[in-house]
Amino acid sequence: MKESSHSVFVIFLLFIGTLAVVSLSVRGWNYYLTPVDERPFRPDYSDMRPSGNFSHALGIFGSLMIIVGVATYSTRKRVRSLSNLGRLSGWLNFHIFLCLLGPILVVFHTTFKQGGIAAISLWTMLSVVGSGVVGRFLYVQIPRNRMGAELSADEINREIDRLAGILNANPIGVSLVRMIDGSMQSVEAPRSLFEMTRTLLVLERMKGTVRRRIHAMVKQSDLSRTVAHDLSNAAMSRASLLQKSVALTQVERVFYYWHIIHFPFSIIMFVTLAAHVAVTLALGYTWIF
Amino acid sequence: MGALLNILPLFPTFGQFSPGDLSRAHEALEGSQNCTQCHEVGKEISGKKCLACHDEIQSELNAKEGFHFRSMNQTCTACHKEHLGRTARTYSFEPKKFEHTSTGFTLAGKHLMIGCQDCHSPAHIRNAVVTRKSTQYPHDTYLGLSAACVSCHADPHKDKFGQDCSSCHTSVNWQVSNRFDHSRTSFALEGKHAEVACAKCHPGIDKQGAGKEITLAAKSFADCTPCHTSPHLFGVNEMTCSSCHAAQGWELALEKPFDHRQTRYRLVGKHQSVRCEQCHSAAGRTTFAQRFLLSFRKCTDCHTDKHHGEFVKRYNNDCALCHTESGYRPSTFTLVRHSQSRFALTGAHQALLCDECHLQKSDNVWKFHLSSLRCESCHEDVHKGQFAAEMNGASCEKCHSTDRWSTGSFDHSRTSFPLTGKHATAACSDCHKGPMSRMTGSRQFQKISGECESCHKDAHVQQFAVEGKTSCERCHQPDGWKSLLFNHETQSRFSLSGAHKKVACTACHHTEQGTAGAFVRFKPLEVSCAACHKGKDPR
Repeated sequence: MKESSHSVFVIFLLFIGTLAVVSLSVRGWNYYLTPVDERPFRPDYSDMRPSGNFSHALGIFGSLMIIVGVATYSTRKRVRSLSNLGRLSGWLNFHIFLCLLGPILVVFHTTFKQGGIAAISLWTMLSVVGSGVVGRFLYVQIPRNRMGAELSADEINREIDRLAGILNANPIGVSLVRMIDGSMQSVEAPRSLFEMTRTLLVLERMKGTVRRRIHAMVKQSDLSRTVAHDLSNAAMSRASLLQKSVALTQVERVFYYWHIIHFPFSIIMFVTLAAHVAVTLALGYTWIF
Repeated sequence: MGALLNILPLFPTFGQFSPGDLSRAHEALEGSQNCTQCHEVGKEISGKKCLACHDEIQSELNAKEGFHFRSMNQTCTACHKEHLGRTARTYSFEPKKFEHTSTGFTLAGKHLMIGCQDCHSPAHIRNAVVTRKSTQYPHDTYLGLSAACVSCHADPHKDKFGQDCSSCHTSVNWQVSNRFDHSRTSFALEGKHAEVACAKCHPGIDKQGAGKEITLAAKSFADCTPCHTSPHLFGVNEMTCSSCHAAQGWELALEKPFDHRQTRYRLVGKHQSVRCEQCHSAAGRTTFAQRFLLSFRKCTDCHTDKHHGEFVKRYNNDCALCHTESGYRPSTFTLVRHSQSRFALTGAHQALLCDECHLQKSDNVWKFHLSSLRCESCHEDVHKGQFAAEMNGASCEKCHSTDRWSTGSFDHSRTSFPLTGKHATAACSDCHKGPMSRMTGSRQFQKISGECESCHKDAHVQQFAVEGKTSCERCHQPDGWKSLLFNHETQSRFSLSGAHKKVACTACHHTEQGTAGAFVRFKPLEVSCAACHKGKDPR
């Protein structure tokens, strides 16, 4: 996914999420601020309580969003026959969208009150969401092809060289290569999870610096727009690959372990969700049905 | 490791399907195995399981009373909440804001001034189930009271008036029983009875804190006399005070006419139509006796003696001798009774009204005992003393009767001309024509001779006169001119024989015209046949 598209997507997610949070907060501001043991005696209790018409709807729709978001992405990812059904990154974005917005609805469904198996489901859900954010960060640290498949080390190196070839064909590009290499090579590969985190943060900051330098250098040149654009893209791509390759080993390892957390937690989340839903249905809380 | 990490957190919360801890009252129901103690599978809490345990509430619902009965349209969970923690309150109840009317008992009057616990104390709980359950409550309960006044207040009337105290009392003040509907008793308060203070009949009722049983001043109230003294001297027998009097006031008009027969004076005749006030006027009479116990032996006790005591001496002023209650007129003094007086009414006197003789027109005073009964005391002598000498002190009856003046009883046979035949039926004035004036009312009689000609005109125009004097009695008699004494055979020159006997007088004696008028020629007449028959054979 291109940086710009990703940024747009992120902004979109932020906007939708913020909008949901703000609107739901405004809707139930007074209710949420009321102590839990005083809420039953509010006039809007029957509507705002978790089993009330409004909050129950949030829980149902939020849960459905999570289920759809997980089911679609997991299916697309694991079923070979669906490998040609759009880019995995796109499905990932869809998964991220639903599984960010859905939990927001679920959190408001709980009315910020927790207890019992529903609380377990909530916290596992939040853990999944949190791990998902981390996983998304780790995900983009691993170089991938257009279809979203991970690139091997050789493929990464070949790509780095290819981009170097494009850049070296232009004097400005040579300068860019020299600048990028000089920056990236100053960062050592991390040896632990802690170092990896620190390194990734450094590299992320560095990427910003490199980006600014690339734009400055290109701008200062008298290259045509097209050439400048191509050179910039190539430089950024190479910088990104070099950046990612610095901590790639650790990232891949962490990402591997991340799956152990993210996936089981989601299983627990669904199991507890199912139990919670089963109990509520058994006790007659069927929303509008 | 990761799997373990994922599973471990479940242990402390394993089986914890509850959304929160139950309150302390329901702590024993904690645990997943007890969910269905309150929750019904497949449907939200309806309250049925709540009532299975809370039978004190169920008892209120069964009795159809109390706050929970009136809130039956709501489920228990509408007010009672759980899973809020051990110390959380399960219901929202602020005594000062609680609308007491929702319990079916509106707080009013003094009930508003007392604290909740003054009523809602264990001593006042009347519901046995609540009493039993209240020992389990960690706090005092508001359940179990009854809306009946006696459930909290002692009944000083000892259930005499039932248990609906509000029918007489308000919650403002026990002492004020302005709501008591006296018509519920055997004695409905009507008219002025309603204005009487309660204590007047029920002594002690107005005393503070008496709490005494309601008593009556009088032992009974079957009639008015236990409370009211009857001013009537006469016995009322079958009548009660209400027969004449109404509770609106003694003075007020009676609902039905007073039966005066119950008194010693029955109202008869016009007395029946007289208004009570006309006899029993309140003017100048302050007591009942003065006004109603009147003298009535004499009519003059009420009526003015118009005879001015004229009959006091003779008749003891007994009006009833001549008058009735139907009216002064007509008097009951009849002609028969008048005939027993000094002056019997005969003839035309009987047709006179009393006032024609007995009312003095000068002063409009009745005078019945006349000093003189002579005719002239009432009648004027129209003869102006013409017969005074002959009367010699006698009254007019010597000649006249009371039938009419014209029918006199004068004995004409004492005169030289006895009245016979039609003379006897002729009016005196027919013969004795004297000066008569209607203006002065005088009538005098002229003396006349007994000769026929002094009264009668000679219709025969002196045909039968002898020496200038006609003796009518030779042919006529007083019975009538046509009652003839004339004998044609002996008193004429012509004997009526044969067919002459059948001939009418006028056939021979024709009417002739004379100087004085027409007359019938009786004589002289020719007696020859030819004088009448004129040569004709009449056969």
